Amino acid sequence: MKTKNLDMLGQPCPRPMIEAKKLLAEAETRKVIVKADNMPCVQNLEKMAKASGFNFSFEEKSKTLFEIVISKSGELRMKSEDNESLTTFSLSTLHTSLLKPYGIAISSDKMGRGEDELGRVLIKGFIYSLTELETPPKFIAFFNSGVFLTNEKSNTIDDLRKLEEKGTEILSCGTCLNYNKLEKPSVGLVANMFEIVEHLTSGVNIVNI
Amino acid sequence: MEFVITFVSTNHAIKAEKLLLENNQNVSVMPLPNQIKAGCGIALRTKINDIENCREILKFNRIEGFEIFTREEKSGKFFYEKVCE
Repeated sequence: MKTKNLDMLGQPCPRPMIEAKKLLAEAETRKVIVKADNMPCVQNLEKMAKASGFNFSFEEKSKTLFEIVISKSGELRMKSEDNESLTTFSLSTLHTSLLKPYGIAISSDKMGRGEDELGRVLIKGFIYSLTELETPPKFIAFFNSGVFLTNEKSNTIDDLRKLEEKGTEILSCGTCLNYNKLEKPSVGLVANMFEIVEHLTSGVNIVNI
Repeated sequence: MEFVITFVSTNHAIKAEKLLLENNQNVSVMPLPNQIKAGCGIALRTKINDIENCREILKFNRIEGFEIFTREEKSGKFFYEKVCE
């Protein structure tokens, strides 16, 4: 059983929580004792500890000195969490089987008409939201300036990779990549117009952006 | 663990995204999660290694009224807790 001490006096939020979290992530750590100088920091540590299933206690030594003890409990909690995830899994499987498959066509690196700056942010939020859906799209076809979104420089790449892992096919129009002088897409495959047409007419619902 | 930053207006959020990307911070856009009640419709996500820099940069550039939440996944659902302003 290893106990670690963490002096976080004078450290700005959210560093105390980050440092405590890092120590607790190490398998050998069983207990972390944190020194902090303000009450909000104590409350943050408490939330973090409770969310992770750790034991939490603190002592107010003075107005500006708090000593917090966070320790790992047994394996009991892990087991009950496993059961919970099993139930959630079967429910989401049921939901998946009820929804008709769909694909998405993205023809621009902006969402909707209006200010470009706003459109660029909206499309990123849109793509992120797809990753949170229980049923991901069957495919996303990017064409015209949409192909900028499958390029390494765009910060939508991580979200698109997550979708690919969930089984979404990511297609980028080859002609459009070439016209915009972009190299191979950083995620998914290059497709020609025949492949894009085949996907869009394959009978699934199409969401047009 | 990830962090989510919320803003008082869409303009603040757009400005902050631009600013943080220009300063090589790894942030990405997401819609404001339903569980978070305050803030405009657009939020930014970042990782544990970048959140302190992000906060510094936003403070230095006087982006006012942003809030920082932790985001943790449990059994496929996300949970958010406010940590600082």
